Amino acid sequence: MTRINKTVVSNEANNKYDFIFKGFNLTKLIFIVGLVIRLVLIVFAEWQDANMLVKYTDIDYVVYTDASRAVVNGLSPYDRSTYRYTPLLAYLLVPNILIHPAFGKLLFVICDMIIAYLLKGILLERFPKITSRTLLICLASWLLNPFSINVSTRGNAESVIGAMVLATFYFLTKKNLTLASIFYGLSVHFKIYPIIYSIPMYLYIDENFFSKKPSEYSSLNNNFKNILKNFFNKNRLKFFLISAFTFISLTFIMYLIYGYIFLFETYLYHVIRADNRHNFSVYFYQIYLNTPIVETVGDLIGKVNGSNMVVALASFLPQVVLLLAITLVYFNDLEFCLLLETITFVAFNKVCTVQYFIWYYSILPLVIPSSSLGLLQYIILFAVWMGSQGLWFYSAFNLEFLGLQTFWNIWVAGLLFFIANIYILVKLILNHNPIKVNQYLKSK
Amino acid sequence: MNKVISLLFFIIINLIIISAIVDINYQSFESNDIIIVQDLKDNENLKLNSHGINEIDITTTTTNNGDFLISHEHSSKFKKNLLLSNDNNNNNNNNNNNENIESIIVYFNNNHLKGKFSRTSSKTSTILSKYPIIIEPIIRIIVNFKDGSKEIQMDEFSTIKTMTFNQTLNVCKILQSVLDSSIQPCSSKQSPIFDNLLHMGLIPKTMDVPYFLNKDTLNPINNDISIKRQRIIQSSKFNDQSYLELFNSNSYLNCLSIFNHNKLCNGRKVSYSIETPYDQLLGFTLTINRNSIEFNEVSSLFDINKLSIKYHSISATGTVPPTTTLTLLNADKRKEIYKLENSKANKLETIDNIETSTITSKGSDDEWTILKLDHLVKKSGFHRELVANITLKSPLKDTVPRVCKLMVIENLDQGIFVDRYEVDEIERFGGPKVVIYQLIDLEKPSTSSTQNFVSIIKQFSTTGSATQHLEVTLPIHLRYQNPLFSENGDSNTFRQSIISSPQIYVSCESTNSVLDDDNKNSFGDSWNLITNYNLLNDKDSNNNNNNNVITKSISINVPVGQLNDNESVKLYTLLVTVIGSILVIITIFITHKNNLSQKKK
Repeated sequence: MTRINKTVVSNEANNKYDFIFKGFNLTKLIFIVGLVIRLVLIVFAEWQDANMLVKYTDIDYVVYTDASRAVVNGLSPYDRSTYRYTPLLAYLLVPNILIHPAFGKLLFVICDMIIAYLLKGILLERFPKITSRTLLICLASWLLNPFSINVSTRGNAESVIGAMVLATFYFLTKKNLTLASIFYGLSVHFKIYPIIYSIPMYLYIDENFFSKKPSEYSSLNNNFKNILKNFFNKNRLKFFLISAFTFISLTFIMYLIYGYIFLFETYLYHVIRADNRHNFSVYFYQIYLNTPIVETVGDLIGKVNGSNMVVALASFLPQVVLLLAITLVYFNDLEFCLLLETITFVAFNKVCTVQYFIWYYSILPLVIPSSSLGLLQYIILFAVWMGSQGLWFYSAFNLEFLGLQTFWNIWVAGLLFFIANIYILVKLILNHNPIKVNQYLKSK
Repeated sequence: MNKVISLLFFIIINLIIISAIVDINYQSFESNDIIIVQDLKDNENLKLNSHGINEIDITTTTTNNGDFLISHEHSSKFKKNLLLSNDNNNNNNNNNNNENIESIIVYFNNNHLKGKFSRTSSKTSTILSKYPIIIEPIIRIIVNFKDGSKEIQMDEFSTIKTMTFNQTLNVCKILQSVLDSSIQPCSSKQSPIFDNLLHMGLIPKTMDVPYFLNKDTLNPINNDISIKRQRIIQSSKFNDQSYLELFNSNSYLNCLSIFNHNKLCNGRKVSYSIETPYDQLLGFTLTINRNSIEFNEVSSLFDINKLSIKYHSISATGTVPPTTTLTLLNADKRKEIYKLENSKANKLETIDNIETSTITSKGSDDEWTILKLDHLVKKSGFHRELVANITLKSPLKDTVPRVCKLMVIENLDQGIFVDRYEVDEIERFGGPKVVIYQLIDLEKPSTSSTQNFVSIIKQFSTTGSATQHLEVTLPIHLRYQNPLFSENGDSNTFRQSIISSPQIYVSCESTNSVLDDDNKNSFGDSWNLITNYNLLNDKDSNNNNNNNVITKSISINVPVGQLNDNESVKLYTLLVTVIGSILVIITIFITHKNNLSQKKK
C-alpha cells in the first residue's frame, strides 16, 4: 500500500519537470518523436540497401552481422576479418540472422531510448532544481541529435556502450553500487575506452557514498587530504572488486572459448594500434613518417633509434598529465569530469576517427544545466569543431579520392582540429558552474 | 628490452651473412641435355653435317633460309643440398628453416606480343607449350614448401602473413647465387627485374603454377584454408632487354644456357652451345630441387640457313660425361634423333609420321581470338576500378548459341588489394564472380603485404555474331606505402603500384551437355588460354596501331608522405600538444581557484 503511494508521489514529482506547451507535453512528445525518426530511418535504410549499391548501412554493421552468422553456424565471430569487438556483440545480434537483419539496428535504437531515459533519471537526481525547459533541452540534445540518430540507424553499436556507461552513472546516482559496478565492468569488457573513467569514478565513491545525495557532490568541496586517507574505503573496494570481477570473468570466459585471437582483436589491437593511414589524430603524420622501413637486410642495420622513444614518451605525457588534472579537480562533478576526459582522450589519441566523436554526445546533456554557455555559444563551439573537421575532410578527400599528395595539409588540419578541441575544453571549463552545495544545504 | 637484444643479435648475424661472399659451387656429378631443333617452314627438311672437329651444322636442304625453333632441356644431379646456402652451413645460425623448402622455380616467358616470333610465325609448336603468347614478358618465382610448413599456411582469421624475413633471405640468397643479380631483400639495391621477395603471395597448387595453362586444374577455388598452396611472386615491370642481365658471364644461369655463346661462363658447364646468334629467347624455366637442377629454354632463329652447334670439353674432372641427345623435327613429319658424343653425332632412330599436333597453325577454327583489349584503371585516389575491355572473336564453327564464361586472371602487387566482402556484394547485385586465392588483409600497409592473383569470371552467351564485346570491372583499393625522401625537395612524393597485364581464358559448355544441368556443375570448367591476338592475323591493321591497343603493365601513382618534413612535423606536433595540454591545465586551476574564492565570499 505504501509502495503504491510512493510511486504515485514520485510520478507526480516527475511530472512537474514535464514541459507543457499549449497543452502538449513536449517532454513526453520528444521521446516519441526521437523514436519515430529513428524507426523511419531504419525502414528507409532497408529500402536504400536493397535498391542501391551505395549503402545507407555502415560497413561495421555488415561486419557484426557476418560475425553473428559465423556464431549461428557454430564458428568463431573472428572468422570475419576486422571484427574487433567482444563476442557478446555477435551474440546480441544473432536475431539478425534468425529473425531479421534490421534487428540489431532496432536494438541500437532501443539503447538510444534507454540512454535518454537514464539521462533524465540522472539529471533529476543530480539537479533537483532543474527547470522543465532545461530538462527538455538536455533530452532534445540527445534524442534529436543528428549524429546519434545517424550512428544508431546506420547500425553502429556505439549506443550500446553509451547505454552501459550511463547505466553505471545512473546506478551511482541511485546509490546501487553493485549494479553500477557490474555495468562498469561490462562496459570495459565491451569496449576498452571507458577504462579512463575508472579513476574519477573510484574517487567519486567516497566513504559517505550512501548517505550523500547526488546533488550534494561538488568540485568545490574537494578534500584532497581525505582522498588519500580514505583511498581504500569499503565502498571503493566494493566497486573495484565487483567491476574487476565482471570484466575479468567475462574476458576469461571469452578467452577460454575463442583463445588468443579474442584478446588480440578486442583489446590488444586497440592498444598497440598505430594506424599509419590518415585520420583525425594530431599524431597521424608523425606516426606515418616514422613507420620503420624494412625493405632489405640493409634496413635492419643502424636503425635502432633512441629518439623515437623520447618522442613516444613526449606524446604520451601531455595526455596523462591532463587526464590526471581533470580527474583530481572535477571527480566530484562526475558528469563534467567524464565529458572532459572523453574529449581529452579522443583529442590526444594516436588514432582518431569520426565514430569516436559519438562518445561525447551521450554525456553532453548532463553538463548543460551546470554550464553558463548560451545557445549561441554552443553553436559557435559546434561551428569551430565542425569547421576544423571540414578542412580536414577537404584535404583527406583530395588525398583519398583525387590521389593528390596532401599529407602536409591533412596534418595541419589535424593540428587545427586539435586546437579546436583545446578551445572547446577551455570554453567548457571557463563556463562550468559547480553546484554550491553549502548554500544549498543552508537554504534547506 | 629483450626485443632490443634480439634485434641487435639479428643485426650482427646478418652482418656476417652479408660479408660472406655468396658463391655456391654448382658441381654436378651427372648431367643430361636434350636439344630439339624444329623447322617451322613447310616443305623443307633439315640436314645434319658433323664436321668431326668441334662443330655440328644443321642446314636446310633447299637453298631457302629456314625458321628454327630450338628447345634445350638440361638436368643435372648433385650430391650436396642445393637449397642450403653456404653461409648457413658455415655459421652456426641454427635456423634450418630452409629445410622446409622443396624447390624454387624461376619461370620466364618472353614470348610476348611485340616479340619477333609472335609477329612473323603463324605456327605454334608443342615444344613451345610452356611459353604461350602473352601480352608482355613476365617472370615468376615460385617456392614450393613441404606440406604443412608454416610458410604456406593461411590462418583461419584476419590476415595473410608474408614469409618470415629470415626465410625470405634464404630464398633470396639461393636465387642470387644462381642468377647473379641483386635481389631484394638480401641486396639493398633494387633489382631492375625482380620485385622484393618479401611480397611473395600464396596461390593454390592446383593453379598449374607457373604456367597457368592446364585446362582442368585452373578451376577457381576460393580462399579455403585447407587447400595446399605455394609462394609466388610475379614481375613484369622490367623493360624488354633487361632480362639479359641474368645471362651475364658470371651467372650460373648463363652456364646452363646453350644460347649466349658469346658470353661464356667460367668453366662452361654445358657441353654444347649454339654458335649462331638467336633472335629471341622465348622463355626459360629453372627448377632448383634439393639435389638436382632442371632447366628448359626455347629460342627462335629466323631466316638463316645454317645452325652451328659447338662442342665444349668439360673442364671439371671426376664428373661423368654428360649425355646429350639432339632431335631434329622436320616439317614433313619426320623426327630424327641423334646421340651426341664428344664431337660426333650418331643417329639413334628416325620416326616417320609423327603426330600432326606437334606443329599447329595458329588461328585455327576452334580457338578464340582477342580483337581488342583495353586494360585500364578508372577513377583516382585510393579507391579505383580496374577495367578490362575485351573484344573476342568466336571460333568459326560456333554457329549454335552457347553459354560461355570469360576468366581474367589479374596480378596485383602488394600495394593493391581487393575487398572480398565488397566484390561478393557486387556479385549479389549481378556483377561478375571474383575469386581471391588467398586471405587479404584490408588494413595493412603495402610493406607487410603480399602480391595477389585474382580471377574475375563473367558469363556470356555466343549470340551467333562473330564478335563479343565484354567488359569486366574489379574494384581495387590502394594500400598506404612507405614515406619517401625527395631529393629535390619536391613535395609531390609518389610511389608506384603495378598491375601486370592479364591472362584471359574462355570456357564454353559443350553443346551436347546443355540438356543436363546436373553434370555441368560436377565437371567444372575447362579453361582455354587465349593466345590469338588480332595483330597476328589481321592484315588490315598495321603494327603501330596495335601497339596502342595492347596495353602493358599499369603503373599507379600512390601519394606517400615526405620524409623531409619529418623533423618539423615531430617538433610542431610536440609543441602544439604540450602547449595545448598546459593551457587546459592552467585554465582548470585558475577557474577552480576563482570558484573556490567566490564560494568563500
